Amino acid sequence: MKLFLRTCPLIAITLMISFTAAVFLGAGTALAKSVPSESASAGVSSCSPPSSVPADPVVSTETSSAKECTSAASRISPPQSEAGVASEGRSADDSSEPETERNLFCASDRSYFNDALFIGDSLTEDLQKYGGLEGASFFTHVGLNIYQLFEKPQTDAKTGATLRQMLQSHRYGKIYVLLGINEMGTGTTGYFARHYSAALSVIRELQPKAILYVQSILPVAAEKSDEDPVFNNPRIRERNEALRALANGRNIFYFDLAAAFRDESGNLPQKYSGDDVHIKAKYYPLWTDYLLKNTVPSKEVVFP
Amino acid sequence: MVFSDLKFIFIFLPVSVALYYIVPKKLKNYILLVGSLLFYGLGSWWQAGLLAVDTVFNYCMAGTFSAQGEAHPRRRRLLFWLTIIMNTAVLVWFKCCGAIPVGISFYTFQILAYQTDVYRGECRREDSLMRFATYLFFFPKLQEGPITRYDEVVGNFYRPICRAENLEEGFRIFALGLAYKVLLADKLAGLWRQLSVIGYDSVSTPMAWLGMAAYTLELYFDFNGYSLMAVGIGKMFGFSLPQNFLFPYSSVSVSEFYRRWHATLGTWFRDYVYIPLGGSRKGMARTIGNLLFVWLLTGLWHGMQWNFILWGISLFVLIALEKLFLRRILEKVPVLGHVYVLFVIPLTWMLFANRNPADLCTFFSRLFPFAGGGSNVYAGDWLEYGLGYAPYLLAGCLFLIPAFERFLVNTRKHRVVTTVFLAALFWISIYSIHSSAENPFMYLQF
Repeated sequence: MKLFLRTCPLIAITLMISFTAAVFLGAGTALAKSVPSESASAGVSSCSPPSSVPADPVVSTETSSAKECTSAASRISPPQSEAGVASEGRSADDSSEPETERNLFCASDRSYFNDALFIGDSLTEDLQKYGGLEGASFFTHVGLNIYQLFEKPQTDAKTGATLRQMLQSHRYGKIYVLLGINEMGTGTTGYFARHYSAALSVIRELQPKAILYVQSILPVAAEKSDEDPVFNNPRIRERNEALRALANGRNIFYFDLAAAFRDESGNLPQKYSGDDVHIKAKYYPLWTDYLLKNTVPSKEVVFP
Repeated sequence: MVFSDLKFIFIFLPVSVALYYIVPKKLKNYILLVGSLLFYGLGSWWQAGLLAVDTVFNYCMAGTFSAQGEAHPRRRRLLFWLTIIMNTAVLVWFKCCGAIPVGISFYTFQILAYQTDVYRGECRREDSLMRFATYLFFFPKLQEGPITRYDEVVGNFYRPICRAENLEEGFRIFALGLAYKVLLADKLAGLWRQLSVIGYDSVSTPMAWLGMAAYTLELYFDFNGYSLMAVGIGKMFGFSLPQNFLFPYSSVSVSEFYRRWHATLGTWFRDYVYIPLGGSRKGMARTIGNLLFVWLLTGLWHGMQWNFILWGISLFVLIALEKLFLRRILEKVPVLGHVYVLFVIPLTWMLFANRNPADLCTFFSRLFPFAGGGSNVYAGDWLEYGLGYAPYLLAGCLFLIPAFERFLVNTRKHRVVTTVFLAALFWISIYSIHSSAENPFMYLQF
């Protein structure tokens, strides 16, 4: 043995460590078998959610619900459903109209975002860098996910604060959340939606007077969608439908950001992305533009 | 399967090495052959089949033209050239039109070298199909080289060497190669990738230079890492495979750089193309012509795309200039030479890294922003990424200096320190492989 150690020290050390590790791992997996686990994680790493920047006129076809208006002007009703109801006083909780929440959207200027908080992963982090919304606040962390939203080590990239700290120390008028791509490989859609809903409740508790915008998960480019069993657009759409159901039309709204970043086939246009998932910096102004055009004026919001 | 696979490191490698050492002498080559077939076949059975067919074909052809002997020199030459053309045609066909089988550029060149050596009488024709197949399939050098000559390897087939010191030496080299690949190359790849995620248009100028440095280091540590692992594994089996990288970034001229970078490819082109064409012995004009031809082929060997051709040509221009007058200056003033190499080589790698001409132009306009700024640039990007990747960038630059690698691998002194350090590197690498997505070797596509 001593001779082996002297002639082949590196191999000897490696063998010893390997043997020890194998023993520990063996014991570990035996213990772990008793703990139930959710469906396999897809190894989501520090990949930040793909941000899809809406490209062109796609925006106008999908977001016909977003009415252009100034804060004081009347809203233009959608042709099919609002016959004769083109008044400013339309109640926000008129639930008889399925298009209610989208009909509330109108344009604002940048000052709308001075009391806004954006919560998200690397896509939102890039929005902070490239979106030009200097007045807004951001809580971003590469790889941020809904299951560990309030826990360390999920702290803001710039300030190092946890989300709870941020929500407890400031008052925000509106909070935008974009999460979901990092969670594609973990849990079922229902599991994801339940945790998302729980997170929204915590945020609501800490910020009772903030408008909550649930942004839809952005699509991935066709190449990825066609090949990847986890990160593909049909699954993303399924999750977005679940997110849509989390809105209440009164103070929690579903913000279909994905609509601005889809092409006719429902994929992220290839030119917007270098890796089929993230959005290139120069297209972030499209996100900002979409945000500016689709805001809910505070008088339409009803808090409990 | 690749070398940085946990299944390879903890199952395939120890089992194959152990079997090789245990089994009686006449069966050892079979262990290598079967192991190599498994190694290649588990990746892709049709590619293994292709190489098998290639092997049998070349074995027969070598026999055929050798059998012509002195009596039929013209027929012999015809058959030889037929072999060369067929092998080259297969390589070109796959590179242009098909999914490129792993290792084809490497094994085809080894086949061409073997046939040429046999034809010239410099190497004895291998009369055992088994040994010939073992040579071509030999898994340490199958996927990404080094490109060997037949007589550099065949000796061990006749006289296998099984010594404990080789196990240790080989494993030390392997551990360093693994660390280069996993702890440096794969990490720095993330920084380079960020540039295309952000979009070249929106990258600040310092970020562009940082990205270029990251790519340069990544390419070196990826390929050098693989080559060291190949040499290390070969050594564990008692083989002395040639070194592919001889500290290229310590060169003072581009000519010297390409004697030290991917050295086995360089010597292949020198021995089988440049010198047969006359090398530098037929006057300056012919020399320049030969250099151009060699560098065009070198570019095409990497890929049949315009950017590789442009890469080859740009290197030709630099080397030709050096041959004409520049080298004398660079060698007289080494500092100038070092700065020149460290500036020019990374720029040429950008031709390597960008297949799209628009991307290339955009990137160069970010490096040299004389025509103005990019679009929607975030000025603090280089600071953020620079700080985040600083340890890898610094470690990378450090290991460009020959002294460190030599100390870890070559010296007998301070054995305890180097052993502990390599063990730590090995286990950190294993941990890194385990906890992150794997990155296939960049040169694997060739």
